[in-house]
Amino acid sequence: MRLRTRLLGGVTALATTLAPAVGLASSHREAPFITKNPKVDGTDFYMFNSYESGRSGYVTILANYLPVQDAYGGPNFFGLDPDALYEIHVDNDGDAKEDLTFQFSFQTALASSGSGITLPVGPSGAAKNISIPFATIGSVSAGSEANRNILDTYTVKLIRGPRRTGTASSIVKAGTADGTFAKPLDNIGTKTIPNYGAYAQSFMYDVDIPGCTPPSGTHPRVFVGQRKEGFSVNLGQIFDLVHLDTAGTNGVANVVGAPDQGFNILADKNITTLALEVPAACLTSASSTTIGAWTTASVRQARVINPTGTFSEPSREGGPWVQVSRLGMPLVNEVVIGLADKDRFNGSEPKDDAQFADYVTNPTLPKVLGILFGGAGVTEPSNFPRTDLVTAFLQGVPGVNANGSTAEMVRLNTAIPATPKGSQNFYGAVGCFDAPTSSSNAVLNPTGHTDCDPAGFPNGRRPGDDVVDVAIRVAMGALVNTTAAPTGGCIHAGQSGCLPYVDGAGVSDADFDATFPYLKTPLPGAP
Amino acid sequence: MRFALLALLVACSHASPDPVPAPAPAPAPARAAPRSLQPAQDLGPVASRLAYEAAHRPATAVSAERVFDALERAGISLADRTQYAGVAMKAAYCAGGRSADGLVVAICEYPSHEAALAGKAFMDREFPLATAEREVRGSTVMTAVGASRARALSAFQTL
Repeated sequence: MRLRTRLLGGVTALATTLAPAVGLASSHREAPFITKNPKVDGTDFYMFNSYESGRSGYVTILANYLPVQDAYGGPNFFGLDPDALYEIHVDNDGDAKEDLTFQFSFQTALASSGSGITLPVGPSGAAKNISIPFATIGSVSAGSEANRNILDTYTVKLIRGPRRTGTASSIVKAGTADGTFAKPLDNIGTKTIPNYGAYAQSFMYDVDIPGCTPPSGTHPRVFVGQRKEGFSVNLGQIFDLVHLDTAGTNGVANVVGAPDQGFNILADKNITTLALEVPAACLTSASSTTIGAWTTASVRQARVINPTGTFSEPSREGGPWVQVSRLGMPLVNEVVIGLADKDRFNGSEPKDDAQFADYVTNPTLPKVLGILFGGAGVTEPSNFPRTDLVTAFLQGVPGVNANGSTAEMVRLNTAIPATPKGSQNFYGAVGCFDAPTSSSNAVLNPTGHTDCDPAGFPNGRRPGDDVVDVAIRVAMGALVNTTAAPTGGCIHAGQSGCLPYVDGAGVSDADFDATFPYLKTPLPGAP
Repeated sequence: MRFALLALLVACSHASPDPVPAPAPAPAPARAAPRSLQPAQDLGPVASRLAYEAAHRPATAVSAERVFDALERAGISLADRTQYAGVAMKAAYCAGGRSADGLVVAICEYPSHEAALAGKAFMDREFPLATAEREVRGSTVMTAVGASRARALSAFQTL
């Protein structure tokens, strides 16, 4: 009877955790309500010290939205919502409240002063000008967009203080008072945009940020546009026993096999990226070199569908802004927060995260892994409450990137030098710890390990950090003494007394560019 | 002002006809009969899989319950007994638990002694742990993890 009770409890937890895994990504379609609003669905958030040559002293922040884009998704492709606010918040004094907010607002219009490009159709002398159904009427290239039918622009404000009541100022193109930026077309195909890389490059802007003095001879940078999806994940197979095979056969991954078994289910998708590169000195406060950051999207509380909708006014929006998407650390709302609270999490702020603490101190993910692999002795760590997870994911590592708060956000110590492309460890900073022993938790020892990469996750997050593997290993007790976590995840290659949990979807710095915005040119809709 | 615009827009809208009643849902397709135990092939939801394994345990002389009883007699009480996914270890059924002093025990039942040996070899290869030992008795594999694993294995060997 006792066994049966445990089984039922385990299955309940399993079902709760399996449901979000269907979303299959860091935070793609992770909460019920946000699935109705893909344009404001934040998917991944990166923040790291820039490792592009010549950009020392800068921090790159990438906020990805609009998940699971198939490149051929025309004719409208993947524009952002002109009735939403997309924001990147920075806490630089450790109180879990935003001190700086970069606020993006988008505008979309048809060419020809809003009427759109037309073609004369009909006999000479009696032809009618007919609006074309496509995004372009011919090819476009860098600096040549006369054939473009849909024009996307945006503005960026910097708000100091609370996001809705603070002091706002406009970010402008460097050396100008022009605060309107253009967003490139998505990668429709090679006939429409023969050289998408060069085309997109022309939409990367050097900017001036009010109150921010950049390093001499440089400017901060802004870019918004489509990129190739950078997140790599195979969560569906890991947690879906329907396709599980620990031997790595039958077309599914081995959970203790090689880090990259070719199971990145997002490899053929694009994403839309809001990218900023800001001097670290303009993000930090005098009290600390560590910052915390997260992204949110908000929409108006009321929306009335226009029964005679037009391109410019398909609906009308009103009321106060309501936050509908929130994203900081990867996988949190995906596999940590319970289904009942996912929408609430998306509407919440870090300062109120105590309400979600149980999901971290008593996580379901290790329980699920224990059910799936318990037959081999795999077991969840027994150190409840899981203070190791609180430290790693809610507080930051003392002496590295802790900032005094207990809240969910990406934390980056901007004083830790960036690791250049080609030298990064895709397991990031976890290699900076001594492996735990039977009586001791893992101890930070940055100088004691050749695989220590302190510039990587969870000290910030770079595109090439394999956050899924790190999260699984840490969740299974990689940093916990082996008495409490006898089957914890490994943090070093060749380490004994641990298991090298993986999702089989590898990622590394080699998969990304060495220059801003680092995420690759998006896949074309037609070759 | 915004809400005034919204109200105006609503007032100007045409009344929509009542929605057409949704058609009656189609009858659910007949559920296929459970297949024989095969790892990683059309196993259905996890909960269903666990229930299926619990209902289709092989006839083994060394059942998980017998092992648990033997452990109790040896003074090892597993307070946290749980069913595990047997299919992940190529087993028909798995269960286990953890003692207060941290000893982890997992029992996996197989259809035959040969299958149990293969299952042990699989676990040894895929889940190597310095603090784990595995033994086979009949068609059952025990995995014991932790410093006091020798006591558990001794109790297992008496069966």
